[in-house]
Amino acid sequence: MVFLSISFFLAVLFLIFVFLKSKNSAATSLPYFAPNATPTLVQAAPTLVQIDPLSQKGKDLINDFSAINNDVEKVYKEDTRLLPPQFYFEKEVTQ
Amino acid sequence: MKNKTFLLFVLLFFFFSGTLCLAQEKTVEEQYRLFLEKYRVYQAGSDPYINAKSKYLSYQSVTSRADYLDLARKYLISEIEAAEFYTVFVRRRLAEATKVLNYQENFYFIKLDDEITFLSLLKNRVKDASSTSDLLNFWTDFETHFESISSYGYSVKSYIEIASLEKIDENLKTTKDKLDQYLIENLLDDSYAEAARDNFSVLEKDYAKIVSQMNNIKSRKNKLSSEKASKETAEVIRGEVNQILTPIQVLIASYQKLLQTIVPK
Repeated sequence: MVFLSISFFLAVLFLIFVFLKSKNSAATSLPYFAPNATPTLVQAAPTLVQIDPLSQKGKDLINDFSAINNDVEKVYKEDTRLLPPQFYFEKEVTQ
Repeated sequence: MKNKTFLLFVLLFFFFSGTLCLAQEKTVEEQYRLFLEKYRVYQAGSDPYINAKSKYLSYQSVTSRADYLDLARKYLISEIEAAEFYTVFVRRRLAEATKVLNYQENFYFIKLDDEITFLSLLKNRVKDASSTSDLLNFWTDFETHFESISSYGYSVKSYIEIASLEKIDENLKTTKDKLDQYLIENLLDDSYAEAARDNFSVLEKDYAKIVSQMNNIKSRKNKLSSEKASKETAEVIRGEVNQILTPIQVLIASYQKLLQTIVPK
């Protein structure tokens, strides 16, 4: 009797397992399409970027010179904040 | 248990000391703003001080003397505080510049730190001054030290200008050498090669002139720390720096023009 009960319980478990498995695979294998909707295929256009190392190096050099020029502009701007302030120094307090 | 408590205290100490250090570290702009605030306080104290002084000289009474002493103390302290904040600003500006320029100029840091310490001590002594003669002595001390601080201010200004110029020179040389290499490696068979090389050779002469001017300015930088820089010294150096900047910009424009003729867009 005990053996029969256990066998029955295991059989039910097995059936539940099989049922869930099949439902899961159905969900993943069948795509859902909304009524009247047409599936769209998005294809990225292939891009071909040709980098000419010669011109790239030349452009980099132009940029490097521009960066130095920016530094020159910074030095042109004098930092007058560093100039010492003026103070009053009392020398004597007599008439 | 004792060890754990000790460790906890050590960790707390490091945490709070680190936080305090971060709080004290101000940017150059913040430091300058603080100096301006203090300088305005000093300027605002000028008229009340002059009034108190004239009253004291006119009446020579106990009350006018006490008023004068009180205002003179406040006025001198406001001056010292403004000078202190100016010195800290100069130090901060130098620290920022040396960080960017990768220079280590310990001489100015040591001197400026000494002056900051002196001003801080002088401020405390002025607070306790009880006679006009004491105050006048402190004023003389302040004047002597501020003369040195002014000199460091001019020196630091010139030093930063020359060091920035050196950095430009260094970068210009590196990039110019890269251009030279670029012309050798990539343009041997090009029809524009010869013209580009000729152009580059002409520009080499201009570069040599810049190097010569640069060497003169560099020698000035070495002398800066050994002699007291004045307003005149700083103005002469500024003039020389300006004189070299224009040829550098012209040279950079010429290099870029040369590159634009050979680099396809």
